[in-house]
Amino acid sequence: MLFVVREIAGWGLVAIALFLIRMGINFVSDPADPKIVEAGVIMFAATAVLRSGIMLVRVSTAARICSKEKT
Amino acid sequence: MNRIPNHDSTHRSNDAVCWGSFYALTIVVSAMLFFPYVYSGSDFNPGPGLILLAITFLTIKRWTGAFLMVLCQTMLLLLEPQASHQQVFKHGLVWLALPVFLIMAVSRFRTLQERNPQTLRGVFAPVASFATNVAVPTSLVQNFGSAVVQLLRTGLLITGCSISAWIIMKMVPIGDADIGFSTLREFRLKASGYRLLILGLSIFVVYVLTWIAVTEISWRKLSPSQASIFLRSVFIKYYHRDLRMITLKRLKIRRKRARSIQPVSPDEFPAAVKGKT
Repeated sequence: MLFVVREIAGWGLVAIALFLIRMGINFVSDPADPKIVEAGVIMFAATAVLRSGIMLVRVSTAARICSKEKT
Repeated sequence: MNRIPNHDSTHRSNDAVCWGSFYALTIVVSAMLFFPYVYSGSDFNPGPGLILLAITFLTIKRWTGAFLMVLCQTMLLLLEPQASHQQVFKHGLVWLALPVFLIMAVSRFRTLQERNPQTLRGVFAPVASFATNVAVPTSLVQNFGSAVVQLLRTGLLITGCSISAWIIMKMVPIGDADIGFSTLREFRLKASGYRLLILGLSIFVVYVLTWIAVTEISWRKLSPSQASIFLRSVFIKYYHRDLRMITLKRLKIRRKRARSIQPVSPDEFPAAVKGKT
């Protein structure tokens, strides 16, 4: 059960990261007023969130594989 | 028999302390000579002064500090107004350059001596051979060559980093009240550059989505032993940082010890074998 919660949390973080990336793209997509510095900051944060989400998913998957082997 | 190496090592450590103190003292004296020339004729600004002081102290420990110091000086000469140039040239550029080169030389010698006392001898041997007309052993010439190559490599690396940092900083508008952070004109972006930015971001999004799909599918095919290794490494990294630190420290010491064992050069090898037999 704990693995499932972790995996869901991991995928949630990945979704948040994708949302942040979309926000960053929105910042630069208006040619009349592109906010490049803001977009850079958002993209940097999105990358960090994405990495942590993927890490959580991987850990939970590995833990599930190990627990299956034990049982 | 055992007493001789002990005495030798104590002697060597005393030597290192003496040389270290001498180098530190030379750097401090050179810095004292150098600072009045940097600030002659201008109001004292503590910010750049502190940065230069920090870089000077960095040269005591790291050779890269000397490069940074030269780059800072070049940048100051380029950025300062013309009046300050005249001031520097009036006082004599030599008196400004001399302490900087002295600090550079001292820092380099200290680094070389710390790494290996043989290397320092190797650096001077080819120069001395011109004067004395004595043939230099091949290993010493190789040492000299490698020192020059390393010097050039460090110089190129730092210069490359400085040029790229300069180019990036040039693109960001700073110091003008009318300029904000929002329009294409301020970032000197052409229409093609803007298109490239948008295309790059779109490709990045596609890449991220594909990467997540591919790696997650392959990740679920891990064998139990692979998964357990991964879990152990992750838990040690996040929950037992002390263990990780101890292991890394041991590895570092082991590497250092392996590096300190001097390999026997091909010229000395037959003599070393004869001596043993």
